[in-house]
Amino acid sequence: MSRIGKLATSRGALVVGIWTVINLVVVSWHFAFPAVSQLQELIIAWSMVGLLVVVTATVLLFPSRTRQPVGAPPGAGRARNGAPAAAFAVACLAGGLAWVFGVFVAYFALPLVAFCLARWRVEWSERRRETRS
Amino acid sequence: MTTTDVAATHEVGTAAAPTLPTEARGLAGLVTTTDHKKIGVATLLTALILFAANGALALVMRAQLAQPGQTIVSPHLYSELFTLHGTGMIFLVITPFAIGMGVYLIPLQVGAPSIAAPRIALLGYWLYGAGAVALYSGVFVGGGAADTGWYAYTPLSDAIYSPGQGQSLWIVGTFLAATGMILQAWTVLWTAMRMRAPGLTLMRMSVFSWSEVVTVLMVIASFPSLLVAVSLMGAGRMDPSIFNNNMMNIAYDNLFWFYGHPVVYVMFFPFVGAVAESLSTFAGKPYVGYKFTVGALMTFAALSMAVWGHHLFATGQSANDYYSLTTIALTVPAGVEYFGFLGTAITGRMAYTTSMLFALAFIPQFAIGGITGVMLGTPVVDYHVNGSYFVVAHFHYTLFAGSVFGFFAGMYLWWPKVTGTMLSERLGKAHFWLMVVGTNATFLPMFWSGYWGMPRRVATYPSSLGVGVPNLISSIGAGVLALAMVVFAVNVVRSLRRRVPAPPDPWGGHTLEWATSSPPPRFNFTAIPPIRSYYPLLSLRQEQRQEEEQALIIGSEAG
Repeated sequence: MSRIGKLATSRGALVVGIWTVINLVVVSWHFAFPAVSQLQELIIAWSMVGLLVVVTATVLLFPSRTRQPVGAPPGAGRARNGAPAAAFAVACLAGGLAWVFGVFVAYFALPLVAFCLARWRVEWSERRRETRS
Repeated sequence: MTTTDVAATHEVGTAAAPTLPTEARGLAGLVTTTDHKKIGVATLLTALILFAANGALALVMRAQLAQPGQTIVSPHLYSELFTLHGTGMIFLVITPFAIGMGVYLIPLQVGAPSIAAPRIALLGYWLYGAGAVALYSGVFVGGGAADTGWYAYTPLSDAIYSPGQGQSLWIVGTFLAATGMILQAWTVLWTAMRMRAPGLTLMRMSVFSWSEVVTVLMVIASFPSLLVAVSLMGAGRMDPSIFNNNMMNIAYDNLFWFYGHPVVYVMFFPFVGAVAESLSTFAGKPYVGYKFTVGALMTFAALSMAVWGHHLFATGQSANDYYSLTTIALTVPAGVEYFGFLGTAITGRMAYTTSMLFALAFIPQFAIGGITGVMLGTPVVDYHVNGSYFVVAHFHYTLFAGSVFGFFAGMYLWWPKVTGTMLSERLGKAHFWLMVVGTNATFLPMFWSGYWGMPRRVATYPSSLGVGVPNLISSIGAGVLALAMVVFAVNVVRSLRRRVPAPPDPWGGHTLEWATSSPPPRFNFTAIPPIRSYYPLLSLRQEQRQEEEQALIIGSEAG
């Protein structure tokens, strides 16, 4: 865990940043050399992961916090950030498209699933800490 | 003070303070929100946009059918159009309308600060969105989008008869969208069952809340069957030989219609609730026959799970007597609901607002859809008109003349609550009358077209069939409907630009959502009024009036 200001984030942002750069290079290659071969078509499909990485990075940088704010009505503590939900839905879409277009599309889903698992782990540990205290 | 008889206003905490530090702002905030109101609006807005898109597809189809022998679109493209139109309207428009209204309104109507499991509700929304993306992306792949109709019977939909990726994308789209709706349904049910305000017993929930409860129960019970059916279809696309055995095709039919019939009720129960709320609000009195209506809704839901076989009458593979009996038995709870509608309307003092007009038009129009449904539930009639435009007319009378009118009754009723602005009543009434004319001009002639032998899902027809005139009237009616939607869009844009502020309770509403500001704060309420009936705000007003009258009497006696 690292901290940006007072808000907890996961270290995955660095990994996602590196992933973004790699995929931007792939995308650039695609634009420079339009696809003619099967290999290039495959790479074009893979390059779409760049878009997903941007989404992942965006949602990953959001903080998580489980503690209920003072004065909040009952039920308000449930209202955490919904980024994992959006990420998981996109991962499901990628999973479905992988069935249609080929298993390589599942690659798109990996960072999103990793993000969801990371966020779940962070929240679970925070909840445990709160319960103990 | 007991939990069932709350004597005083129930303080629920400070609504202004808790802007959670985890909430993002701007576009990111919309994408990741856990506010049920934003999730509900996102669901409804997405459905509304897709409603316009699917309506445009219908206009192309009506243009094609306006005259016999036209060639505006090819037969293959026509098949894609009716598949996208039907699938889109059912999976991506009216079902999300029904569930999205619940996501927005149920926490407000039961006095909860939030929806239960808001992230699950959000996941439901995004799965629905992902499903829409997958389904419509079929347009961009080789071979085009799915073209097998909204129920995509096997073996027509297997890889031999429907090659290409369009049908596979249809499977992914329907699977994701249905999963999303199941998740949202769970959150609505959980909220209504476990997060009600003190004093709000089950039999003090509004008719709309009850209609949502039975709706989500049906979603949870029947939608998984669709997931199994499309998974079976997916398996068939990988190995078409499994559909060589006709037992598997009938299995698919049964699995699909175990979802496919209850979904019809999923697509109109919430609008029955909206009509009931509109009628009682604008009649200025509690809904008549509340307990009977709740019972009828529960009975309706239970029976609706036992009628799917009537879609298989013509296959010879279903117990026609049994399914005919259960189908016709639906008229009993439907009749009870109609007594409630009519009793409330007749005994109240009516205010003819746009919402009320839509609610009133719902009653006879939906009756036409329902009565023709009973006709179709009789095998001998079904054999004659099965697969014809008679069926098209029947379900458009239930889903468009019924559900969409109910939806607009709710839209005009709750728009001020949701947006904090008022819609123009003048434009609203223009919208209403165009809708009435357009709806009946479009769908009524289809009964004749179908009865005279015009099959559904054909791109054209010969002039010798003698259905040119009803088809032309239907196409003109579709144009009128398009004009009605333009008027509605103008009304919406005008309302959002002029921003005539809406008070918390512009109509003299009866239910809890009218006890908070318009639009409601992040956690809905700063205080919940005492709840002693299923019309708590009306009860309060009645009590206040009685107290004032007593004070006057005491004052005059003392004087």
